[in-house]
Amino acid sequence: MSDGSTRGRHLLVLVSVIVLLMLGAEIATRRVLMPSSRIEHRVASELQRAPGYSGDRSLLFVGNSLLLYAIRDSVAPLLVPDSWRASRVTVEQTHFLDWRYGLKQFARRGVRPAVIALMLDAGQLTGDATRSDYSALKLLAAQDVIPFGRDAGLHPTDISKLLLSHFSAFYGFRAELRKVLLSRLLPGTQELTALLVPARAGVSDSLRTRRVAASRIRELSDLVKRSRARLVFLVPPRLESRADDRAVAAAAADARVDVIVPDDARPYDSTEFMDGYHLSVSGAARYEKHVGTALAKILAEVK
Amino acid sequence: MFFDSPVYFVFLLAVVPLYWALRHRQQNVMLLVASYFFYGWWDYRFLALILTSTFVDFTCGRLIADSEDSRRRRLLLFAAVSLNLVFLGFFKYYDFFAESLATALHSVGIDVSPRLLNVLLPPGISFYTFQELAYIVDVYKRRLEPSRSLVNYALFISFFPHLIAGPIQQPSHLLPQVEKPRTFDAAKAFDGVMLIVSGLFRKCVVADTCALLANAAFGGHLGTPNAAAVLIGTYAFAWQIYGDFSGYSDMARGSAQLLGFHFMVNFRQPYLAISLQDFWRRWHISLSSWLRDYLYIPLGGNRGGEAATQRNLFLTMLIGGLWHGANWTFVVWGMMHGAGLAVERAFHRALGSTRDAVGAPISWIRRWSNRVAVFHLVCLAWVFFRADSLRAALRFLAGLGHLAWRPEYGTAILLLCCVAIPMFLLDLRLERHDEEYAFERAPVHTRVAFAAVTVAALLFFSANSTAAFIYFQF
Repeated sequence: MSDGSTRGRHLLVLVSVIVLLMLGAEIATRRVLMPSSRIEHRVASELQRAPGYSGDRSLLFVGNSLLLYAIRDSVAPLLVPDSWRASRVTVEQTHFLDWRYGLKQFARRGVRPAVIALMLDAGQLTGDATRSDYSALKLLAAQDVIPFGRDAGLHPTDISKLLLSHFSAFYGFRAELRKVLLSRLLPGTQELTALLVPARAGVSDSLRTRRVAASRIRELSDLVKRSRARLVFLVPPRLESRADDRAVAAAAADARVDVIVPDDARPYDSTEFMDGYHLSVSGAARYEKHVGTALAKILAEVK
Repeated sequence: MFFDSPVYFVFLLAVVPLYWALRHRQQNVMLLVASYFFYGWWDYRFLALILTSTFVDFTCGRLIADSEDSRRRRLLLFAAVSLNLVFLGFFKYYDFFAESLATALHSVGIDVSPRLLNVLLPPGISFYTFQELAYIVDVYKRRLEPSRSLVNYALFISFFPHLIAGPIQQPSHLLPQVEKPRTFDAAKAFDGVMLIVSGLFRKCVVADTCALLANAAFGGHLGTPNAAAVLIGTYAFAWQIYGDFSGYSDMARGSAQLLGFHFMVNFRQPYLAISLQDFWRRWHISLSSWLRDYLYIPLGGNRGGEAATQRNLFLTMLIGGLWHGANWTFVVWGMMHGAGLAVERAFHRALGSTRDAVGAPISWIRRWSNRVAVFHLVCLAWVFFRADSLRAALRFLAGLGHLAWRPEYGTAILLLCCVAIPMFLLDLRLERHDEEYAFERAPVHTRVAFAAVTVAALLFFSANSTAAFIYFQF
């Protein structure tokens, strides 16, 4: 065999090994890694059962980890009147843009409940952050990836990453895989990550918050109206009352959208939060009771 | 498009097969179009700038070469160099100098409010300007025949693997490669793939992970600066910038190699340097060679006595620092290296060493103690390079005098070791075997196995960040 063809064969072997490894990673992610993740299993099953909650007397709670801990999955169906059915879809670390495009895709997939109750805090509603790769994989339709990236202010190079994430489970899921691997290999990674990722600054300008929030809530309301649904906005409880939350509540009123603000009988205390941000079981119980009462009034008006 | 983004690989996969299906002239035209597409992807508005400077330098180069009139040749050289420096100065340094002048005048009681331009920095301008300057000077000095084809010259300037962040190619190395026909060599392509894999590992696994720690430390997220946080941040940045830039260079070289070109090596295990002089023979070799050939030597080099040599060293490094960015932090970084080189030279002379500090045989213990000392000197300078301002750098360094500990620091150190040690071990291997990339001379199955392990690490440990390559901003 000539020297040239041997070299060519070596190159072919090298490229084949690399391609096989990438294919292996993709298959392993779809077949083994994603199904074995507890969080992934929850997200997948919530997304899968969502189309079942379509129709006149159905309500879908959507949101991120704030909703995950504020309204428990087993309790969600109990928060609506007997003639209604309710379910929940939670995808952690999601923001306005994730749901703007996520809800659009829900409608395409036939998820058409009568009421959609969305929970986001002021920062998540008014900011441009997204869950990026994971949203592209889980929430977005292929045709929405580019507009989603543009709305998030991404460079075309980053949009190309989103596109790959939409089609490749491995690429879209790789950040989660890395997180799991690192936390297994290096104990303390979770604590370190909390330190490395700076806490989100609160939204300080209430006027701007109100203006942006009103326009975004109106946009979401119009979006769900197209599938004959009604939007209810849920303001999450906080350890301390904040002006930006009040601005969001006012914005929802400006946009003529029903809003449920946490009860103000007494402030939420630290025992009602797990980590100062997500509700504990006792906090969730209190919030769920309040949401149930508020929803009864709102749903009574729904024809 | 970043070299570590999917879109770059789509681009490369489209370019490489098409390129090899064409003849030489068509190859160059096609590569030129691809390179302008690559550049326009960043920001198409700056294409006009690179096209203008390319055309002017090409024309001046030919006119200089064809002229026997020394005055006319000097004028043309002056015009071409001025145009390049005006472009660079306007886009990169105008705001910096205007602000610095205003601050200086304010300190003597004169208040002026300079009109700042706030223009975007055209990608790669520092790199392609230096390459154009090198070309025009080499043609003027008659060290290089000028290119007679605008396409070839434009490709030499804007060839996409080196366009945005180097390595700055010496005209005598790259231009002949552009002008001569190239043939596909599977062995070179194999090396190219290995270089790309190695570069991706350096960037996505090492640099991006270290960036998380460095950004947290310099951003104050590891707590008020204290000795542990300062050391974690500094070491993390040292490995971040090395992984980032050497990774970029490897990917650039690998991409060029797939197209039948050879780029000069840009990094040779810089953290194994035994002196600062040695460091600069190993770090960003293409820039240090440029500074030596087109700045240090024209300034007089070491021909004018000891004092002049020291001055030239200092000035060269100072300008080298400023080349990195319009900020006093880069100037101080350059000055520290310039002063360090000058002191090191004086020290060797005082000891009566007539032999080259790098070439002299030294004991194992001395070699390693020198390496540790040089690494820490370099790290000290990195603090100024990384900090947002001189005040921030000094405040950060002051943390060394404050002892504090948090359990998270232990995890941070462990994480840093997990990514830096493999890269350090690879460097030791490269140093011992004098290879361009790890396992270069090993049997094929070993190289394939090494690539497989690297790709696996890349797949599972790439940081999911969109961190741009550090040198893109220069």
